[in-house]
Amino acid sequence: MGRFALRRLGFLFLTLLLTSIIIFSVTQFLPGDVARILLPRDASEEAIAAKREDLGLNRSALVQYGSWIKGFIVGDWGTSFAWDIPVRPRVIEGLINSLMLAAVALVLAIPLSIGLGVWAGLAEGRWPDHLISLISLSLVGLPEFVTGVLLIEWLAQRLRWLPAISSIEPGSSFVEALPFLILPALTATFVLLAYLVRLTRAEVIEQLNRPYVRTAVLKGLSWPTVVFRHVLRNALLPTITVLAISMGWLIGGLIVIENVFNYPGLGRLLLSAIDHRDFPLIQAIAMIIVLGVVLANFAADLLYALLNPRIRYD
Amino acid sequence: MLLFVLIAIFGPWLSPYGPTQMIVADARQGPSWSHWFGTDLLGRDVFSRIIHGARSILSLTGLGALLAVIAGTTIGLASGYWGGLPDEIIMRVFDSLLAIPALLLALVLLGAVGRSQGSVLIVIAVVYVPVVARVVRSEVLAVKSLGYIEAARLRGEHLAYMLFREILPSVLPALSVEAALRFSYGIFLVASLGYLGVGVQPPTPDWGLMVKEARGTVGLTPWALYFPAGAISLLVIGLNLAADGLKSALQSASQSLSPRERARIQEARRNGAAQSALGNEGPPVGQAAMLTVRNLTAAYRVKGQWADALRDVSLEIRAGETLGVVGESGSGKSTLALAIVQYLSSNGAVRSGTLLFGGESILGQSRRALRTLRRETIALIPQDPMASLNPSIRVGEQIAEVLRLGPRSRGEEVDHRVIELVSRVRISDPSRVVRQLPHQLSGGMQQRIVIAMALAANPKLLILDEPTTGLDVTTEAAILDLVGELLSEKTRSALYISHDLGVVARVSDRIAVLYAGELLEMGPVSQVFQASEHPYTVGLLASIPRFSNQTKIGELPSMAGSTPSPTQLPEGCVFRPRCPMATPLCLERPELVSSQPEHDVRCHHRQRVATLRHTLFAATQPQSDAADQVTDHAILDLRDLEMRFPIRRSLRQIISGDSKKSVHAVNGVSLSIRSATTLGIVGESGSGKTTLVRSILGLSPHVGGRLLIEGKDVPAALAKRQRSLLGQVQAVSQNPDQALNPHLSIGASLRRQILRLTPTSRHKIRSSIDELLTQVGLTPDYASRFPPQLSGGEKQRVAIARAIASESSLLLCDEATSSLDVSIQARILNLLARVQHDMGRATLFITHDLAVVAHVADEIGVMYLGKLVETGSRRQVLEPPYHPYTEALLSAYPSIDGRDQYEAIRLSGEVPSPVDLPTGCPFHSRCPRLIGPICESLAPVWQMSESGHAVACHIPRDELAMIQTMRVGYLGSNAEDGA
Repeated sequence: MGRFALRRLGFLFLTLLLTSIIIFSVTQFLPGDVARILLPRDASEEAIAAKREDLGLNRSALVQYGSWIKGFIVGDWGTSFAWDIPVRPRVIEGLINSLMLAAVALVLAIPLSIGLGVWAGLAEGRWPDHLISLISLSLVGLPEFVTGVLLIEWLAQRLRWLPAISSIEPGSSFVEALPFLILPALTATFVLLAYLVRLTRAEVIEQLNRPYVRTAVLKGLSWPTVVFRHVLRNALLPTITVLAISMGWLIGGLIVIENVFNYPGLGRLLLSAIDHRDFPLIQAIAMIIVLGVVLANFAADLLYALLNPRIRYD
Repeated sequence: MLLFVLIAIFGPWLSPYGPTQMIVADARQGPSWSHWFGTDLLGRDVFSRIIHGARSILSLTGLGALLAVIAGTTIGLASGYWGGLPDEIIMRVFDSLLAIPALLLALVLLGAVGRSQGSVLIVIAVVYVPVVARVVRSEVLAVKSLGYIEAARLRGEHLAYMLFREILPSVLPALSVEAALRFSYGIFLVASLGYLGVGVQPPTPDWGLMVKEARGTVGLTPWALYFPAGAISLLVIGLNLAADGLKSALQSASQSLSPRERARIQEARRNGAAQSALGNEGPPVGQAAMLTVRNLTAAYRVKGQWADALRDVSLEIRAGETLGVVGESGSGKSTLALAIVQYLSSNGAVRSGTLLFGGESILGQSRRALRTLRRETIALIPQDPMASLNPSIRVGEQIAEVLRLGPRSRGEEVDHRVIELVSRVRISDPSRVVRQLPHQLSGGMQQRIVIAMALAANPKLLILDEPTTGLDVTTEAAILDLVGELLSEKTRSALYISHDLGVVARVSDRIAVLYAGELLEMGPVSQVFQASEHPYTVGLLASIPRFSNQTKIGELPSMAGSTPSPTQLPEGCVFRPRCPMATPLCLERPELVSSQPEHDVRCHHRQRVATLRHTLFAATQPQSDAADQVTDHAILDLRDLEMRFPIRRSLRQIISGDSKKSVHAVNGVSLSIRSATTLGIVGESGSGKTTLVRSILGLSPHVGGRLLIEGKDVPAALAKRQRSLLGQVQAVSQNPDQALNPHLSIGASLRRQILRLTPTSRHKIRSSIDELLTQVGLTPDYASRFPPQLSGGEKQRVAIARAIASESSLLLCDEATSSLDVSIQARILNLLARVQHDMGRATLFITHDLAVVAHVADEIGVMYLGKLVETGSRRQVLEPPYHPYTEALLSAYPSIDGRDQYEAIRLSGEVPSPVDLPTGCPFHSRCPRLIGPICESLAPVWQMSESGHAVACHIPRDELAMIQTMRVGYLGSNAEDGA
């Protein structure tokens, strides 16, 4: 187990290294001359050259990457081009808000989708299955921004149950923020639901057809015992991995959702950074998000290994 | 879907207004005749904008996804096929790219390169290449080791042909599902980017952008929001349905039943149950009968039709009796087992007949009563114990579960009983084993646990469905000993189902022969085996290869044709089309008639069957040993051949300098095969026999020793071998279903083989193919058929045709008949013998089946843990002195002739790990004739007799011969026993 965790940890660092290279190259070298972008259009060539020197753009690519990644690791994430303030506090603030939203979404989505998926799988081919499959299929076809806009229109504007705009004050506690979180979290839940229900259902059906289920039934166990003791134990294990994979999905969804609800998270910050071509900010946000995804995968791998005694540690 | 594509193509002509045309006067209008979907705030026609938007989104995502599919497929194919370091690096980079959420990557890329349609296109392609490449690669890895890909490698195909003709068609189904999925995600992505304002820029019509623009004015122009949103949803749902449809079309086996079919099956089950209950009131059942099956017809609903897998089967099992049921595939034997325990698959039903247990109908019981019946009275011991045990529950707990349902089920008592049961099935360390998970146990141990579980509730009837199939012969023997012991107590009845007549003979009191769903013959074991009165039983018995150490038997008597499918049954007697005795009378279905008590036969000609029996067994003329044609010309020569697979080391092992470990699959094998002879190598799983074949073929290059063909050294790696050499060595592999590329016609497969390996002019190819097909007993019209249309035996014939197409001088057969039914196996063995005889080929025949090797081989080698332990002529190996391992193998073999004739020699323990080889003799850890420390410390040298028989053992030959012949007869000449 220890060796397995070490190996996974090795992969984690390798992935982080490669992704940081990808992110840095894309944002540093693809856009052309960053100095020119930063300065007004009519800036003189000398001013541009001075700016280049100032930003360290004349150094070799490797040196630029090296100093950037070193800065990132020690907590110096650079200065925003657009607002001329340190990047880190802004990113951390956005991160906390996004994490709150993600947490609420997961708390809603996981039990609901596993419950529905298991129910549909057990009732394969009968009406609950058809109904649940229909719902999840229609959810698959609804992009976050459509769901979000519709939810705002109906639950907030027409029925006035919940606030439409999620402008939480900086520093407000989780309880204070909660009413603002519900609508965006619900939107994210729908995104996850469609995906998780289908996968859980497929896994349950697959397990039900395994010979060990026949053994359990022929032992004379009652059907609930067969389902809860034998089937679910094996069917829900892969869901852990699926959850980790869907983290990427959730984060993509959150970027859109935060913009729909004008929610002050990482996603909204990222979009405004892109609008201003604020590359230090983009780099920092992208790295934080990737770090989150990679850590989620790592945690899922470990959890899976802990819960699944059959995994081969190789 | 089609609608959207059409709209995208012809949209501009359909749309009544330009996409950006503003008619201020018409602004904010609801849906009407002039504006179907209304207009937006600026007076633009929503319908026109949606149509133009469809064009933009479909072409953008379509092109992007296409680019991704093309690039991803190429990378995936190449990376998966080559493997190694480049593959590792590419996949690491792709994994990292996949760790960046798609939308984030798209946003970052767009932020960097600016916003335009072109960049959106590129972004989609970049985001999805890794996904597609991963899918393709994993498919390639799954296909790469299949028989037909290896066959292509063995004829030296070049890379482009391999990738695009052989591999790509197999990858295509998964790829098309993936492409549909990518397309739908792409739509999502483009629409999201549009909504976020970083994709397509206004005023270009874009669905995402339209939603964004309409959002602020929902109150005024709701239609401007709902229509584009609906368009996105419909498109994505359509694409997902298409992907689902493709996926389920690929896995057609798991088609779910329509409600109407379901209702029909339920009705059939109810009818069957009602009939069975009536049967209860019928004529009184014999007092002693435990289980009574009367006129049972069980069927599966396939494509809206009933396929009767069992028809009109009647049998009974008395208290304490074991009834053996033998049948080949398609005989309905497993359906019988499942019908008795009421666990037919969801499309199955007992349509008519009676199933009584102790006089009570099993069918139509309430759920509760059925549970009690399953718990207390009937237990099933199925094939494949690994799959039958729950992989994540400790085995002791799985047994305890049964006990807790019964009386006296308190904690300690249960634990105690579990240990008792586990020791009962002869597991030596029960308290340790009960705490283990199924995968930590060997196959034999797993089956013991399943048996313990079945015994837990002390059932009155045991149903054993092929419980030893898939186990090694020595393990099988031990399990059979255990089963035999349990059944001989006569305290419970049993139904023992198997395809293996030898196995059934060993444990049963009476035998029932099933064929194509019908019971053809039933009677006491001795009656059915020695005086069978049905032509099928006679044919089946005759087609089993037997031991005969005296002379080599020529062709096995075999039956033509194959088992009919339940939907295409012949008129009259089911066996008529294959029966050598069929007359017009057989067009009428014969009844099961009991002539003398206890012996029931379903045949019009049962009186004449004795003659058939005599002619068939007389036909097994001894063939002269190949000696007359044998020259000393060695085709294949192996000298100390070694093959090791490296084990991947962990980072820590590399750092700590752990010595590099490897799997020693072949450890110094020396042998030679002369032209026109067959060397048979027999060994259990883990003996390294398959690796040996693969090393000779160059598929697993050897790492030590020499490999000579026709006296010349041959390079280890396939890639380094010349084409003329490739033509000389060809192979027939075990699995006929994987041997031929399902996407190429038989003719195309053979044509390619001929073209690559023999100098043939193109216009003569056609006749060469016809000739080959005729040679292997098929007709020339098979050339236009595809592998999925062929039966297993036919596929194996084509595989043989392919192997002999190049006039090879050496034919390697790796378990070439193991997956075939006995009657089909006999014909393939005959074909192989003929092919060899006609062309003077040298053959290396590898098998786990002793009788097969005894039948085909001129010379035999016995392999254990990567080494040969005994070699010699067939006669020498099959008679004493034996190597102790050979002796154990022979003793374990469930022969239909020599019942209880030999002293049972059973091996203890497991085959040692090929990573840490035992010192001294490789067999010492399990040897029943161990003589002392010398066996553990010193590797035995070969003891040769003058005539060339060699045994690698420390016990002197004479001594071995003496202790072994002292036993009650050795495998004497049994050739006449069947007659």
